[in-house]
Amino acid sequence: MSSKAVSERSEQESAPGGRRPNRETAPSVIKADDPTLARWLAFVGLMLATLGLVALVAWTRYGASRISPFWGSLFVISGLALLLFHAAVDSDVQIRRVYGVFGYALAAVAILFAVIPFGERPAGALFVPWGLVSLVMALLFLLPFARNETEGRWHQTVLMVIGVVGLALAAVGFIGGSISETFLLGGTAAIPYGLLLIVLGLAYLWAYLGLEGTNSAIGYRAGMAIGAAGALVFLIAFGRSVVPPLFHWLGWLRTNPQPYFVPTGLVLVTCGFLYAALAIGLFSESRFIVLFRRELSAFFYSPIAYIVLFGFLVVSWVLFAMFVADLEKPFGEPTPEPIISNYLLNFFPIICLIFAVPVLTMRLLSEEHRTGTFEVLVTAPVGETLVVLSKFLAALTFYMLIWLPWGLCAIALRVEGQQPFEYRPLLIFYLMQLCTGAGFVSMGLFFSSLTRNQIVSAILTFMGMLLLTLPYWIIKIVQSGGAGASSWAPFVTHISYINLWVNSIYFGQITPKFYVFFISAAVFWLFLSVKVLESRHWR
Amino acid sequence: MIQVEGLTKLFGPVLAVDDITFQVSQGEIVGFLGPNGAGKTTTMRILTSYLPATSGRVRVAGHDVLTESMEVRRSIGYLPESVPLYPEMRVEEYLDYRCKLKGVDRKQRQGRIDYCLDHCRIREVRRRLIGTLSKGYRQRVGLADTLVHDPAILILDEPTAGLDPLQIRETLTLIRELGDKHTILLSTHILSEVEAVCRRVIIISAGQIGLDKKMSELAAEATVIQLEVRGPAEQVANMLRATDGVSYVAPQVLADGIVAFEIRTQQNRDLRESISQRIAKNGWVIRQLDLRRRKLEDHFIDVVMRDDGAHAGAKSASRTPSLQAPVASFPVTGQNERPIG
Repeated sequence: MSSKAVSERSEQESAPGGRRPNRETAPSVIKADDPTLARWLAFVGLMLATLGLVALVAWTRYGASRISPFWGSLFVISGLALLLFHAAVDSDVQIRRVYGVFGYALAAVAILFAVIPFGERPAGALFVPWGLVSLVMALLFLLPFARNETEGRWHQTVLMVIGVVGLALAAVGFIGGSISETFLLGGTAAIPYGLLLIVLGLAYLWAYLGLEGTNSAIGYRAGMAIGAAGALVFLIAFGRSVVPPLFHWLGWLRTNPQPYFVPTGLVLVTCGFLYAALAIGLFSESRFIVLFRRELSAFFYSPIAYIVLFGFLVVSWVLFAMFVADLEKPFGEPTPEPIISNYLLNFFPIICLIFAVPVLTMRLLSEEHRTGTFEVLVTAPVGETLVVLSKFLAALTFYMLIWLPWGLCAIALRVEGQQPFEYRPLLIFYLMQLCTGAGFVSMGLFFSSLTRNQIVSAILTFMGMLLLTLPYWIIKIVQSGGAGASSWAPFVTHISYINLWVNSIYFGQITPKFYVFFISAAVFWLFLSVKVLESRHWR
Repeated sequence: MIQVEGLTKLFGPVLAVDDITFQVSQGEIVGFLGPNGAGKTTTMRILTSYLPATSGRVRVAGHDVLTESMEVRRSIGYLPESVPLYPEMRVEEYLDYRCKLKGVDRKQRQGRIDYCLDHCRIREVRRRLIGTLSKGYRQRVGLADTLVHDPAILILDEPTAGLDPLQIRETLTLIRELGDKHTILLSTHILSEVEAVCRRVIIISAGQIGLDKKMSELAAEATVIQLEVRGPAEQVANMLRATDGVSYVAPQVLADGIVAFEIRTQQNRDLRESISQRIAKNGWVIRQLDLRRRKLEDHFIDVVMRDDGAHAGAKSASRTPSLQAPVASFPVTGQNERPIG
């Protein structure tokens, strides 16, 4: 049934210049499997999805069904996952076009949700969440379709659709968000329309640029345009945050301007930065970006990264469940603000962190020394500083990624709970993670540069993490010992990152002097790493 | 293109490279020959600015390796012996990455990658993960990586190590083709490769250069006539010395009355026929009459053995090369000679 059982082994045409082509004796013939398993799985997935959908519809309309909503949603999600797997694997013409049309239909449904009123609700009321969900599913189904589609016209159409949808989402999100804060972050209805549209637009445009390829002319131009748009938004939001208070401070403005930076300014600045970063990340020719891109993707090639990500995901789920149960207890005392601190400050993630950082950083330079790729790397016109910085930034980006679930769960709490709560500690939390993470990761990178053996560098980094975590207990012991205010106490408090986290979240202020220690530590470790690598020039 | 003057490299107390001097001009293919541990890889690492020299001056493509290492690295393509590659990347992706690292312009990038894929014949595996490739293909990918930015100089460390005979032949053909447009310095300890590809050979042993000559010069060196005769040694030797055109005769008495002679002739004339006629006229019996050019192998063994003798004086007596014919780098006189070793 499949038309791709055996791929032809191509014979060499005679090369110009009359060189006699030798017959290839290798590589092995590639025999493409019949996607039988994928097709069976797709049937199973289709059944599950239909079953789950019916159950969910029954619950919403009639309020009763044999299948509980939990199982219904589980069925729908796993069914769709199996269908996606089949879409990715099976490149048969009819099947991939079915999935493509399904993706188009989902996108059309989303547009319908946006513009058509349903019953007594105004247009766009159901856009969140149903419109967004169908847009996400549309992207997920259009991606394998675009990758497997080889015929010109269909391929061009799907790329155009993805690009146009992404452009529309980004435009509406940014323009609406710049005009109105309620649109961007949600007022009492608590739904951050603008933010969601911007993020979804980013995903669509990323897909478009990835499919178009970085070497094609139109892809390059589109990438430049997206980067320019992102930079523009960044500048405008930054200007609106900074310029009015500056003018007021300079005395040119009488009235005290409304604070714009938190939260609108910050969100728009971050989103503009993300768009610009996407364009730079995909298209920049700078050696640093090229190295950074390779290092970041190398993280995702190893199973360790996924284990760490999944581990932190599970930890955040468990903590969130405990936190919500604690909030919901019927007769307890009301939780004082910032409520979110009960969720963010917990020992379990810290213990996981002490193990996770060595595991993430151990292979950075040790692997390169052991396999000899370091030699090849530095005999290209690349300096050691670039190598160290790119690895550091890639590891730091991955480090920030493992803390993502905390933010997502907080957003979910806001949407589900429909009660506003003090969310600014969350922003401070991420800022702190950035600084302390920089310190940890650079330490791990230094230990990795010292040895070819990954285990040794992991153990050294682990000991370093333990040493850094220790001050918190030292403080507790000293204070509980009642010895009075020892002169070491402020110093140790300054170093201890747990104290930093606790204080920042509880007091809700950004005090730069607490971050200086970790940022300067990061600079110190990075400098040492560069020197270690350069030391081969002195031996 | 490459100028090395007085290069010395000490790893602590270990003298890896001892005051070597050589030059490689543009367009040459030079074979860097030597036993394992001779200092070939160390020299190459110094040339590519990976390691510093302890003393001496090295200039590559007109730039000093110590002070202008960025320019040096832009002009060379280096393939280490172990061909280290990232196993998790695909071939095309890896070449694209290396192109960007080496600063190949975006408009030319696809063209260069296509050129390297075709020339190194890895087009069929361009979507495969590097970790799934066999040794021969990895070697080709490494070679493609060195070519991707069209460097003036290629430095290849044992480019055929571990390949099967067919792949060796193909790699050498490719290197010979590349030699038209690039300057190539390749290191190996397989003599037949050097004879097949290189126009010049540098033999290094125990950190010192023993030989630095063009292949054409080596081929033009004195040919030697090997003669084994059953007869009286003195008389045969005198007869031979009296033969017209013979410049040098070295007798050696073998067992059971056979005498072996090594005869050198003026202007490399082939005097086998006249010698055999004269011996037959005198009634002696010829057991062997052969014309031998000194092979590269002989030069190699000379250099290595000579250095062994210089470095390990007391042990020299116990060392004999296991060769059939007696080999001598200098004229030997008298009976019971052993090769100088």
